Amino acid sequence: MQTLPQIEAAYEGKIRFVFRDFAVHGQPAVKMAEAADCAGDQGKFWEYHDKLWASFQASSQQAQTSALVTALKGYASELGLDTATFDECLDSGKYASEVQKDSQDAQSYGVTGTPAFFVNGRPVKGAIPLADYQDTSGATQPGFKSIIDAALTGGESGTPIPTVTSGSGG
Amino acid sequence: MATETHIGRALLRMPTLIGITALSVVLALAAACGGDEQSQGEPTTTPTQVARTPTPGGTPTVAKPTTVAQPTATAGPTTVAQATPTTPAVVQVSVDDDPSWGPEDAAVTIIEFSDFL
Repeated sequence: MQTLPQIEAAYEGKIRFVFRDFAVHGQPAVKMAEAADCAGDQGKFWEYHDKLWASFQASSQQAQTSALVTALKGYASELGLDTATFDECLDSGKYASEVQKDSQDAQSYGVTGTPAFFVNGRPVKGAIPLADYQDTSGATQPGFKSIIDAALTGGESGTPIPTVTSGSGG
Repeated sequence: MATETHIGRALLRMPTLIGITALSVVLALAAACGGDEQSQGEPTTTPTQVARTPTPGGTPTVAKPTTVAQPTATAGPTTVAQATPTTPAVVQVSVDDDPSWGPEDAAVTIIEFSDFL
């Protein structure tokens, strides 16, 4: 998610961000999620997470080939991970059940696509930007900044997400 | 012969008394049925209730709102109590033991579900 670094920079120390797997794009997506968890074993989940996003195009091209696993192991090497340990983790499917459980949880929460977010339990669908934006109908919708600011101002869990009305026509 | 006359009049009035009693019963039943129809014609709804319980860990633990509409016995539109359109329902989402950054007691917790494709 490209907005994530912006959120992290703007709200460092103020929010907690949790990443859970929802591998809906087939076995390649599952293997990539497992690889990230394997990197987490060595304390580099977020570095590997960022690496996967940065290598999105390459991963997509490799998604239909067996070269994906080789690429995933290559990313581990580039990040300085213990490759033997990483390879063993990935090849053994150590986190296969964990990835599956996360995906089942997502479905139980009503998630139907990626990415999906819950801000203090309130669902936010899609990769919305940090700033407010206009949807396809021209209506202005709250971006992450408005949503997070409202939640922070509320000071409690479950703060209603603001609704920004369209400024057009007026 | 006066007693005979009195008895005779009483016997003559009996059908009338029975008729009045029967009519009263019928009217009472009709009134009762009418009241039922009125109450059944109006749908009964239970307002949406959301219980919010912040936890020390900053994890939102909010009960899922429920909306219940009572069935109606008569024909006609059934209305369903709805949450405020601008306020999405709150879902109790577990953070599990998945990767995270930021303080655990933060006022705001964002949980992302995604893959890398």
